[in-house]
Amino acid sequence: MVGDVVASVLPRVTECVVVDDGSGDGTGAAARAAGALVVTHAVNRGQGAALMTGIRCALRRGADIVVTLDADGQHDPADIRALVAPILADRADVVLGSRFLGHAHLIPPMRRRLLRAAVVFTRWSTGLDLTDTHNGFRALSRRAASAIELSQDRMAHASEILERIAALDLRHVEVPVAIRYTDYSTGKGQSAWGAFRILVDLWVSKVLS
Amino acid sequence: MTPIQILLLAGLGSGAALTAARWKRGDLRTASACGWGALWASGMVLVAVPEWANTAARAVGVGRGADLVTYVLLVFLLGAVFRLMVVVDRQRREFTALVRELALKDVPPREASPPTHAEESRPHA
Repeated sequence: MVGDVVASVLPRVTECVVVDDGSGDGTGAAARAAGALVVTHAVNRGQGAALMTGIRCALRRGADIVVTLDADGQHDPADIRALVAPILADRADVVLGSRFLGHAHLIPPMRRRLLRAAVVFTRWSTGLDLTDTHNGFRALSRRAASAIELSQDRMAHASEILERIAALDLRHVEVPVAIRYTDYSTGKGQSAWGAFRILVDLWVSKVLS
Repeated sequence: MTPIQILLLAGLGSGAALTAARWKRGDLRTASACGWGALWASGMVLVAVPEWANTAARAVGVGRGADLVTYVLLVFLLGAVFRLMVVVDRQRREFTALVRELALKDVPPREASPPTHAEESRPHA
């Protein structure tokens, strides 16, 4: 799966970075064989930690624009051009993909309800008026990627990154992107229990910081 | 002395002995050892002479010594849990930072060759 994603992304970017988050299933080798630069976490630290490592790696490699997308094939690399366009035109520092402005194929009803709830929560907690708050398909200018520091190692990073965008007053815009739900991506995605854990992680972070 | 008092005193005494041993090894600062020692000693006194707990409870308006001990323990345990959460969260952040540094330590900066025309507007993914 990850090899196919890398192969479809590479023609559209200068370089493709894959973070192997302590997996034992040959993900790193498959991505490397497909042409990606692979950085490996010695132990699993979670999606947020892997995202931060990938962004740091891209910055170290001199990236002017960093695009993040999931490796499970749910994002369409053809949307990368639309994602980076506002940054190239100097209209935004952060471009967020929105499945609700674009096409979400076969979105499970429970997932739709959770995402709607997340939109309401994000409007309340950050003031950002977004249509899709937990979409991993986004583009960051070098300035934004350097400024955003994530402390959430797990799924709560998606909310934290929006908090940082609001706190840093970064110029942001949403663009439509397609999301394709497969059995694999649905199995890896958010459940009601996952949403509850995100809220707990965010609350604990607020209490401790 | 009742069997439960003997059991509790043995448990509290073990705690005090472990605290003293850790202090002697240098694992525990003197101030911390004194704090823990006071905690174990207070527990042992209240177990050995429960009337004192009743007297203290009446003085603060709780009623029963056992209730007073429960309330004090609840506050103490909540404080301990919070302190543990802070420590665990700090160690989690440090651990993630270490794992990230290890992952990135061999990543070289990109060679400073001028981009081709096709690469000029291409992002990193």
